[in-house]
Amino acid sequence: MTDLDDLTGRLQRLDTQPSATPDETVRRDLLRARGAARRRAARRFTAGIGVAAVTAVGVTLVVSNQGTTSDQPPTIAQPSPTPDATAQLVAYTGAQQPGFVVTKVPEGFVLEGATPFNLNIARAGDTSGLDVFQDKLVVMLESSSVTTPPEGDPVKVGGLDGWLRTSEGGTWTLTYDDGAHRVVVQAWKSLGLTAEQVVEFAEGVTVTAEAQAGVG
Amino acid sequence: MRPKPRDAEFEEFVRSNRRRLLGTATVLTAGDHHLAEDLVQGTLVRMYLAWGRATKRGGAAAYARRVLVNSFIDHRRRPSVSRETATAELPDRAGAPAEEPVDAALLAALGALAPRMRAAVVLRHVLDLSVEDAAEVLGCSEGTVKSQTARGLARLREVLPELAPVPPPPLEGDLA
Repeated sequence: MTDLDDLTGRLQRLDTQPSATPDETVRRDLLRARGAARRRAARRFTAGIGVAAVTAVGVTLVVSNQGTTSDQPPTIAQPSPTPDATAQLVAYTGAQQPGFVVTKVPEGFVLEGATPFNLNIARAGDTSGLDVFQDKLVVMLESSSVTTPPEGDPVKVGGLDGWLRTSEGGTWTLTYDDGAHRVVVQAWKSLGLTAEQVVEFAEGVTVTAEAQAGVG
Repeated sequence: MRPKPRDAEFEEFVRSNRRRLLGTATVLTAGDHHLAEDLVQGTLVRMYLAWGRATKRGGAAAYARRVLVNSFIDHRRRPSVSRETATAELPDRAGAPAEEPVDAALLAALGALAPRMRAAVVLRHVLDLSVEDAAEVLGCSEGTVKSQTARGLARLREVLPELAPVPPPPLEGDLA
């Protein structure tokens, strides 16, 4: 055997043959990956809110600069409540996902899936994944990192306190207490839901033991 | 909790491929088990985040290999990472896991190679990839793979004393 043959033979023996990995290691890898996906989704959502806020400020300045003959002071521009399309809530009778049970969904929508942290309701055929909230109705528990009171107009959800606000030019965010949890429902503006429909949907949500609050 | 399809596929991939990825990372890092584990964990996270793409082009294992090698090279490019320095002596030999016999001398010798050269040698002669596949992983030409591999092997033979070329026997005339 030549030196080179000996060297390449030794290199080949460094290869590790495929073999099973312990379940605990697999579980830790999955948790780590899910955490990264959750953080990325949160970053994207936060970035979207930032863009919406900048846009809202710009609209406000434009309105202010247009001047007015009225004695009324200029009002702050509001995100358009006009939905991209109108929607109807219909009874949901299909299979439920762990974490959140729903009784109504927008017509044409299905349960896309759930993680321990969120349930996504999307149009049938939407394959964008559970980390994407755009054009969807999402239910989750409020992040355990939140220490400030909810923002928005006070509403009643099943007789309990809720707070409803808009962002992203019309996306609804409803935060409410269900007696045991602080729940968040986010309805993307393109769904065309009204404030009343968002509350109606939330009143049909039941949080189960599998639901977990996110962090961050 | 019913797992998502991606989660189930990811778990199966990890279960079947993690050990080999870790082995490859250990060789790439010349026996640095802690760095190898970090690289594998980072690779798996990136796999999960891009699962749809990862499972399309050439299969998940090939994608993981590409991510791992690039992560290794990128890691070595960071300013905070100390660079290798060529020495006449073999560096400290890496400790091997107790359950596996490892060619510690060869692992340590790999540490004397520059990252891309080391990756080329590992892809070609440890993982037994073709020149074409190695070039794709490294994002370079096949000619570069060939030259990097040849120079890497030559360097390893210099570093490993037992592989040093045996001097030819003296000619009779030299004895006089």
